[in-house]
Amino acid sequence: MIVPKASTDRQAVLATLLRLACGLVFLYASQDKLGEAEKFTGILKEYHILPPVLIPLSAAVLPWLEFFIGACLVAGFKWRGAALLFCGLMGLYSLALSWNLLQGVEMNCGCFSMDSTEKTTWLSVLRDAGFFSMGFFVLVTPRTYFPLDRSPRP
Amino acid sequence: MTPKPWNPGFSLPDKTVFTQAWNIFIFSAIFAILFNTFYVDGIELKVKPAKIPPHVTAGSTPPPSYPGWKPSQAKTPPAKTTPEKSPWGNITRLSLIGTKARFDKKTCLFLDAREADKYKEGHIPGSLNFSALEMDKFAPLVMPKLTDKNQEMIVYCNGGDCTLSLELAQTLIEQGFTQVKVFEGGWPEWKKAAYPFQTGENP
Repeated sequence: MIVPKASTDRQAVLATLLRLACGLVFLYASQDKLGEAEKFTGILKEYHILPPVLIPLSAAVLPWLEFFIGACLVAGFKWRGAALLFCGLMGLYSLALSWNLLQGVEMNCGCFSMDSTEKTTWLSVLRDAGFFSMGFFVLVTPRTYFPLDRSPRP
Repeated sequence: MTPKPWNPGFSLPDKTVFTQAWNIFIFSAIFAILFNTFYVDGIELKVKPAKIPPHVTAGSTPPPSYPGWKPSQAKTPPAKTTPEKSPWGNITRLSLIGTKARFDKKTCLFLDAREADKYKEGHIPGSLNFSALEMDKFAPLVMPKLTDKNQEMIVYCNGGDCTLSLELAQTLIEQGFTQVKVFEGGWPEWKKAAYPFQTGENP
């Protein structure tokens, strides 16, 4: 489909704003976890989803993955790839939280902090599903403003 | 000036997008592993398999008079708020709904970790009193009833800041029980919900 260029393309403006919002969400979410792999290991264990052998590796990698996804989205560098990973992680988080809530399991979310008072509720799932939708909109909109790489511009 | 029409220029991710995602993932993973290797608080990424003593293997018959029971040592109660490391570890915590669902199914065993007098005042029907304050005293009484190491068990105490259930759950896991869960809200939450309860010494 040929998309005519327009200086005020509302979809691209919205996608740009959502791209920045998603990026900031992941940058904020990762800041409490970076360098705190030991604490994060405890939270991942509470999810009862990952096999024990994968938990330390995931605890070391996930915070940095969130950080780099966030940085790429904010900077507009490989932002569609970053949006794809953003959606993938948000989808996984939503499913993991829903599964535990359906089992009646109480757990720390570990979403934005590792404080043990951050409990998981259905609102957490709804929030993650909302973030997923935002990321999906960014992913399927091939144009954005202020990209750092040579993506198609509006 | 006529407003510009809405231009739904959507496109599904192509191969380039997947390549970008893969590159970000690989870069992040390598960076994270290197960071963890050289960082002062880095963790061991390789999991060592836990060695389970032969007397606590699943399904084994408990020896008479419970020599298999490891006497409890003086433990410092784990901190409840903002701990350095989550005290829950891999212990599953259950909500009131999750606990009630298991109670209705009658497939799991309830253990009351509170003191005997609190137990007498009221407890979840069918629950056994196994006070975490006097584990060595209660072990010979309760352990003969816990023959299946894979039996699902729900431990509870007074909710809130009470850590007795957590201590008992950790001890039971150390003894080789595999399906130990904690009802975090405990007796106050159960009572508040007006669910069935039992008084006296009998379960």
